[in-house]
Amino acid sequence: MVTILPEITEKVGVPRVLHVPFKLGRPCGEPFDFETRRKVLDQLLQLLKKPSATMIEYEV
Amino acid sequence: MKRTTRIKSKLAVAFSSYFLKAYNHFTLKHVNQHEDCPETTLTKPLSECNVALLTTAGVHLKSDTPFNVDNPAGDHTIRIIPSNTEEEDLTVTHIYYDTKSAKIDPSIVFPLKQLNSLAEEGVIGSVADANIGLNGGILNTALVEAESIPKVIERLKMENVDAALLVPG
Repeated sequence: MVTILPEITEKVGVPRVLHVPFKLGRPCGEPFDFETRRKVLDQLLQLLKKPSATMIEYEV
Repeated sequence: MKRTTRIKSKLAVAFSSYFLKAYNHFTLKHVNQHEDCPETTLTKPLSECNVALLTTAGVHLKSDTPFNVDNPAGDHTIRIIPSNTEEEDLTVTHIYYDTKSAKIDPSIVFPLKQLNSLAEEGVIGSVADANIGLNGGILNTALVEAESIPKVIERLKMENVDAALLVPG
């Protein structure tokens, strides 16, 4: 899951979390920033391979 | 959208924009603590996985009924978004974040087009035929837990989804 507010996803117990530094309403980046869009997806998919209870920080 | 809902939305968006820490604190107070994290792991390579996209950003087809944002309890119903949906056929209905940008570029909350590209490239096996649009910001989650989540799970199982990517608003 993508999160902008990691304390919330931690409290809920989301298994795998990608913490992104973006604004509310833009969890996958700014409009038309397709490079970021792709990076978010790539990192989310890599996160799937990790064990449960993993949180990673988005890499620019 | 009723005028009162529009005003409520402006206040909520302003609150979360200018007082993010307070917004975070407010949301935390309304979220239940879960001690156990579900133990799940991938059982096949990503390149063989059928992947679904799920969002609480209020995404739905333009041809579908919008989420009822005038209901103070929120709208816990589900919208299905087929994998071959074009971006111009998508819209968002939500009152707790500024949807202006998402209406121009839905991929900021629902990167379906990019996920399809990844399937074409062979990074993932396929995109699920049914992807899920939900409307978040519901404080009393009783109906979400009793009705919405079981329906989502049933649909994802029916679609043989191996992994779901969750995106908030």
